[in-house]
Amino acid sequence: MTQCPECDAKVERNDKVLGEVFPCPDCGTELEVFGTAPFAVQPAPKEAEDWGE
Amino acid sequence: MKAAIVGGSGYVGGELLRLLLRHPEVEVQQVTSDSMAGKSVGRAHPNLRKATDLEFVPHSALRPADVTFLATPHGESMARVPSLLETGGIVIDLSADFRLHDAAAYPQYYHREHPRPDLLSRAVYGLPELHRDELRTASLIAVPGCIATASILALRPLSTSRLLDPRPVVVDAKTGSSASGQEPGPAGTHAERSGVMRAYAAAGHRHTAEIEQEVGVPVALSCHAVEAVRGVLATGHAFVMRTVDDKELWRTYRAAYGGEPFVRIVHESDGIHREPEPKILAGSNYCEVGFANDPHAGRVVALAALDNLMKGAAGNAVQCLNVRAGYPETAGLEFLGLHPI
Repeated sequence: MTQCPECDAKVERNDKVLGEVFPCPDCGTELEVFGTAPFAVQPAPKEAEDWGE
Repeated sequence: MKAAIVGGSGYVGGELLRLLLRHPEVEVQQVTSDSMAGKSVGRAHPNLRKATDLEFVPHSALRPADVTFLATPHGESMARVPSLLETGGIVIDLSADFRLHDAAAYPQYYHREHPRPDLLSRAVYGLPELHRDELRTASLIAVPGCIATASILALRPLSTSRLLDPRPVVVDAKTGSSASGQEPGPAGTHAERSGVMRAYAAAGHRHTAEIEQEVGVPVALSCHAVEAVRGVLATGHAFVMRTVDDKELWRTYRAAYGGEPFVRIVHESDGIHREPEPKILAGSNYCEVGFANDPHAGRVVALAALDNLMKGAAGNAVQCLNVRAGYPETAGLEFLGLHPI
């Protein structure tokens, strides 16, 4: 388990894998797994609005 | 448990009926209305057609019940409550008549002396999030006003956190038309109401008294009518004594409401519905609370949204009954709302 870097909510690893992106259960911030031992998350990079154009 | 509803032809009475007819532990034995006596409840509340055989009876035909809900106008409950309490049943009053602990506040905010100030100390303010333990043994429950409920739930975590400076908290509240009840008036005609954004109580709204009573800080309340049937959005502007960050605010609100069945903390970083919004709560008993940090102004914006007829009245009254009777607190209140609506 770790904490959301934005709101301090408890975040469980469960079966998440390195690089997986998931929303924080409280504040909805998209988090990216950047470590599994220990479990660590960071805000996922947001897509810029012109990506793909 | 057998229940009676006094004043069941109004909007709040209709919501009480809708909830209690499907409550697993309650049987509605009577619904009173002098103006609708002898008529099916479906005549006043068409959503309840064929859901029950109940007909309205006159107030004079009211029999003792295990619990009596009073959905009567302000001022009428004052006269009815004393005799109802003598029957030994639980009384749940949805008017303002027993919300304030201080009898001197009634002439100031309701323009009348309270005829039974001795009963004010017996009434428990019906907000389970603040008074759950007192509600478990209450004989008289005073259900809060809708704008008051939203304002209190938004502000209470801040007022108990010792973050606020001594200045009044400014609360700007918007409300839908059903909050003013079913009685016709010039302000409620389609011509006046359609497209409305009206400051109907820019200062001096009577809910100020109960908000200050429950939050414990001075409040400056302004209320606006907007074009919606249901819904209240309270926006509190609270000035703080020191810098705070989002994490601290999250901890503060989690500590207050982390285990509450009908309070959802909403402060999301992305998406359409980032902060509380009453529209998606219509018909549900949920109150959404949220916040925004404004370090530039030394301000925390505290938000709360609810359905004025549900968490702002009938739903909260049923939640109070559930607490008082020892039923699961969510009994009869499981509806999650609609989206889109």
